[in-house]
Amino acid sequence: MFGNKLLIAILPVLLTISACSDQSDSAANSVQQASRNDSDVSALQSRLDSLRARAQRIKDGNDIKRLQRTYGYYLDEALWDELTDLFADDATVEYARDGLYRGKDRIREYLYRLGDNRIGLEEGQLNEHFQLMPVITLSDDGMSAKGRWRAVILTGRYQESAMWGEGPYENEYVKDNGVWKISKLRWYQTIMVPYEGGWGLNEDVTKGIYVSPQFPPDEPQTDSFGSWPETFLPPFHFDNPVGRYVHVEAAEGEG
Amino acid sequence: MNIFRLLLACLLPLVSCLSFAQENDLNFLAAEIAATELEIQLLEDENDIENLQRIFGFYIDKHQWTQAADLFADDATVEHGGEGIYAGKSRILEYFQRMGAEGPQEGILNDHMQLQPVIHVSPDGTAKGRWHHFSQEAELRVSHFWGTGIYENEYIKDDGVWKISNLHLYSTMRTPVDDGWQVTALPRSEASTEFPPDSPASVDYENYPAVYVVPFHYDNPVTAPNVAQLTVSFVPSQTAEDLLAELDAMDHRLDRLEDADHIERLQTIYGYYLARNQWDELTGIFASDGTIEIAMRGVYRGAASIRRNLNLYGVQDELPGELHNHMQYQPVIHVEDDGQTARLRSRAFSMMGSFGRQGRFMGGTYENIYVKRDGQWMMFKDQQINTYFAGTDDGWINLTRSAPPGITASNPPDEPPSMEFEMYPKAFLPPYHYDNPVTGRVEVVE
Repeated sequence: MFGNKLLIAILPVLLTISACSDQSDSAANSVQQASRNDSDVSALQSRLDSLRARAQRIKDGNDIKRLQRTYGYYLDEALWDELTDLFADDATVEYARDGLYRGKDRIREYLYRLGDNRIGLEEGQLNEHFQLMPVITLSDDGMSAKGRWRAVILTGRYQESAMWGEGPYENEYVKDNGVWKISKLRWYQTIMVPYEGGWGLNEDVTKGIYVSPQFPPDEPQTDSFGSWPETFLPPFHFDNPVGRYVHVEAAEGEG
Repeated sequence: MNIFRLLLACLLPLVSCLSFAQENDLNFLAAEIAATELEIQLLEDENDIENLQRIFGFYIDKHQWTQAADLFADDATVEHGGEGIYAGKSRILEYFQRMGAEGPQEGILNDHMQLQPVIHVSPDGTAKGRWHHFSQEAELRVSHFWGTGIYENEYIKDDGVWKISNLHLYSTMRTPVDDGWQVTALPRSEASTEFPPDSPASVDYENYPAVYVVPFHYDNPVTAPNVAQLTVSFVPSQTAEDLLAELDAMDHRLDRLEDADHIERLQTIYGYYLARNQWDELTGIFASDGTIEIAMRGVYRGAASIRRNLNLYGVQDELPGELHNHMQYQPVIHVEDDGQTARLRSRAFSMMGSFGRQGRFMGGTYENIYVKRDGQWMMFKDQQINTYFAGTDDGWINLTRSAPPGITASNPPDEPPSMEFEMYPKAFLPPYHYDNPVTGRVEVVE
């Protein structure tokens, strides 16, 4: 009888203990689980961060292409203010053999002078500058980039002139407050020749000089680039992505 | 025991707190993952739209009206120049069909280059795109023209598939090749009286020599950047395992996006090396067992043969008074799901020649294959199918030589040409590596 009472008295304690013991197991498990999940969460988070960084780099490349292509569309229409807005404050511009102009104000004035100090094309003017062949290389930190492009150009004035033009760009870009801007524009003019006779029968009629005689640049031409029929290989900002071919004989010789 | 219970009492809230925090963290993470997934989706959409418009261009070039019309949404519209608006797929098809017989035609050149895309995708499944248009059109012994223009197009995602919902080509300049744009500037096209449009032209403008700025669908990207508003509505709670699986899937999709970028980059670099006779550099981007086959000269297999093939186009690194530009454009890229193989159709527009003699234009199509070896993409098969070679002053009107250059006896290929073709004025459709992206229809090449 006493034993029964004792049992009844003890039972809650036993139950508690047993419950506690269950709970303590599960509590210990939970702590362990929580800490494992916690590291899961941080592992998942860091995995997500790296994926997000990769997506951002692809988007950066696309943004830079949109930027340079928009530059082309503005140039086609001689929209000089819109065009100037695409540059970083301390950007430089160097076209053909006209020398280098530094800073947005100088760039704006240079562009205006290219366009006879007017906004927009004049009646009878054609100024097509197709922006083709982007090779964009983003810096490791994703805050700057370089890009090679090629422009194919149809310009002229109705009843006065028609020209074929072509040449590559080697440009640089910066990301400023999340927005990509052109920080360096270098255009190498391969040809600018009359439509009639083209590049086969004409030398470059501009010699790569546009407004610099009237509006001297901040720095003279930065390289030895000449004008057609002279040829020049504008340096590449990137190495061969796979690797230059090495002649087997040469490789054996070196080996 | 007391200590144990005390400890337990202390631990319990901590545990529940940890569990709660954990669940919260997972929910937060799930929302972040969903937002990133949407960003990846928009990047894929952008590529799909570029492919779509470029595929459209390839179909139009070859009078593949049915294939081209199938790229449009049911209630789409088309407007060219001053011809007015044609609404609905069947009207669009008929509008195209009235431009000529279906399929590539002997004596007809109809190249419509699709250049310089600026695409903006909205998360609601619509998109807008500006493109440059540059055309070379000819009818043997009748006419030949240069043309430029601007597309401002719209696209819609219908059941997961991107379609063109509004194609609007604003013509800028059109001139007969014999005259050029100094001498002759043709007015924009007019509405047909035989097959009148559903609505008149939406914009009143004139071609060059008049000046007209085609309205931009977007603001200045620096002063008013376009920021897609990404909203993730409801994200159900998920386990860590679910989220891991999502991250794996996103990882895979990013791999394919990066692959596509690499392929476009490599094909472009190919063009830069080709333009300057950089034969060792050019050979270097091929797989050691790759092949090159240009202008039906036959197949050159392996690096040494590829390098030998390139001697056919000039002396390495030497270009005094030589122009050898091969503009690479309009790439349509498909990467295999395993990320080890990719196929590309693209085009070249070349300005070539030696100073002192008439320069030449060349138009052509590539159908190339890329492979990834040791994590590095390289060119595996380079095949160029020429459309024409034309003197700068002669144009296409009287071109009669349709045979491509073919085999050079003094520097022969390892294998004969893998495909026979003829250039304009003959009709030829270079086989596609892809089906119609909307209907899946395969083009049967006869």
